[in-house]
Amino acid sequence: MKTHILLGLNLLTAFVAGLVVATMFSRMGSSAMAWMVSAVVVVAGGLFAAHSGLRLNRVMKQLRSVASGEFSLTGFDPVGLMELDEIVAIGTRNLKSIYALADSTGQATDQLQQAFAQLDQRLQPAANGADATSLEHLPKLLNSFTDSLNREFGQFTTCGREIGRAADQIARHAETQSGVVTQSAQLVEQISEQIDAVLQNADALSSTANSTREDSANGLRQVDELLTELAQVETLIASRGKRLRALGENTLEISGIVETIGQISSRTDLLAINASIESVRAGQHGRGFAIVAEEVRSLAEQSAAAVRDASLRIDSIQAETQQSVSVIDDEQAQIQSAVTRLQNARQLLEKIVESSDQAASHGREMARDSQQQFRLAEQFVDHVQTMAQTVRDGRNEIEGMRWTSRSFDKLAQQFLQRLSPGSALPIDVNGDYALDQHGGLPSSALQQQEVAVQS
Amino acid sequence: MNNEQQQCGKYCVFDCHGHRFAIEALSVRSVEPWSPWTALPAAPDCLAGLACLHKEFVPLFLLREFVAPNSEMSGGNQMLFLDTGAGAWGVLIEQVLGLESIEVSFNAARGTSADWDQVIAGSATFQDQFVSVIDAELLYELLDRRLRNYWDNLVDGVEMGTDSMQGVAV
Repeated sequence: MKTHILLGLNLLTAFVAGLVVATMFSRMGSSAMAWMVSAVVVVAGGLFAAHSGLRLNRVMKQLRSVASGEFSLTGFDPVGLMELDEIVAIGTRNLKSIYALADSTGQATDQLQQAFAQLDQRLQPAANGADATSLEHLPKLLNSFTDSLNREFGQFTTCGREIGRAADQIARHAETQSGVVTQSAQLVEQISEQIDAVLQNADALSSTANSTREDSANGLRQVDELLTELAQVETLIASRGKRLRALGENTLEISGIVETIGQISSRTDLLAINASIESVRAGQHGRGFAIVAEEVRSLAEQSAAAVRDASLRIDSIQAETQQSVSVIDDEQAQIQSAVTRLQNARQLLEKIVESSDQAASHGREMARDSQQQFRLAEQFVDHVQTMAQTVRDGRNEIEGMRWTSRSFDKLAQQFLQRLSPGSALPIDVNGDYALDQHGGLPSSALQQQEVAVQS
Repeated sequence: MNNEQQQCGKYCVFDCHGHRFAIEALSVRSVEPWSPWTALPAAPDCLAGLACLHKEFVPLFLLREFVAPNSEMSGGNQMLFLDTGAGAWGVLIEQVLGLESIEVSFNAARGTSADWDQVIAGSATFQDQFVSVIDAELLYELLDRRLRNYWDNLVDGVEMGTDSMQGVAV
């Protein structure tokens, strides 16, 4: 069941790694490439996890078959992992030794049974007064049996020690794996912190974009108000221009009237001159008429002077009116230019508002993605921690297996000591046997045992 | 006659072709504004044509030939009509400045020949400007003689078969 959990965790880890890679690529702006790479990562991780899980499952099955004794000594199938293959090879070799020991023990038991049977046969004639010389074979037989047991237990002890060494290697590998898992957890926590920073930046970006949008909207409203006021000013100026043009037209009409008055004045002047001429021609009788004609001429001259003055003033009014109309035309042109520029600024502000909306939307999406990444990273950390706990549990079990092996070794030692009292087996500083290069007891120890048995 | 003029002392002052002249007021019949006149064929430069003065056709003369021969100006804005012993006739002038009593210094050697120098009988000042006083009778004689000579020459040229009659409507 734990192997399946580990397999599932591997698959989930590959999936999360693919999502993280896809998110990083999508933030870099290539979504299609990101999903393609993430798909490749997920598929590769899944295949690797499935392959590793299957191999691990096969190892577990072989170890389970070894533990249950159903393992085929000739049918070992290497799984591809060097350490596990070595461990299985060592276990297989030890099992072979155990089987050989069991076979030899069976043979020794058979021989012992045969010896006891012979002893019974020989004891019966001795009890019946038969020859008792056959009892001399009993010590040799026991000695041989003890020697055989000693060798087999030595091999048995060696096998147990190999199992313990393999357990040590597995424990070291489990410790290394635990360290790798811890480092992976730390890396994922760092990624999680960075995702948290990205989330904060995305929130700040969204807030800034919203603020920019509000400012731009305010500017847009002010530009609209300004455009309305400018339209009103333009209307007022146009009305003023119309009134000034009407004033100019009226002035032109007045100018025509003044011109007519001037003509009348000129004719009056001529009439006065002619009257003066007639009075001169009349001599003394026309003297009074000459005075009247002179007065009329004087009035005509005053009228002409007034007409000239009026003409000058009308000309001045017309010039000023024309200048005012020109100034109003310039003002209208300037207002039109200002309106055009304000409309351009309004379009720019509308684009800024639209861009701010898009930036705020992107910021919100980024924050959402970052939150999802943060949750996935937390789940990934939980799974990695579960993996680390599983590895620690496995290491504890292996530690228990190693202690079981040592206990088994101690039991074998005690058995051998009980089997050969007074014999001094070679025991090293750790309390283990000092075995020869073949995994058996050294010949000196065997000779001591043999001497002890003979004595 | 000269005594009567001196007793009157009234002169009509007018501008013509940039010069200021004065003429005896008794010889002036009227001053009229500019109005169209009828040009005559085969007329000399001094005769503008015939003008209508109170339903009366009177000759209208130009003084450009005597005052400013090189001037391109045709005349003025007013017509000064005179009345001498030969009848009414007019002169195209710029404008009448007034009918004033001025002190005239007559030329010492006044003659009776109809010559432009004799036509200018004297001089005076009006509004601080020099004024040439014209003798209306002599001016009329000058113009009349100029017309007669022109038409006499014109008739002689026709009788001699010259081309001087070309362009003349008979």
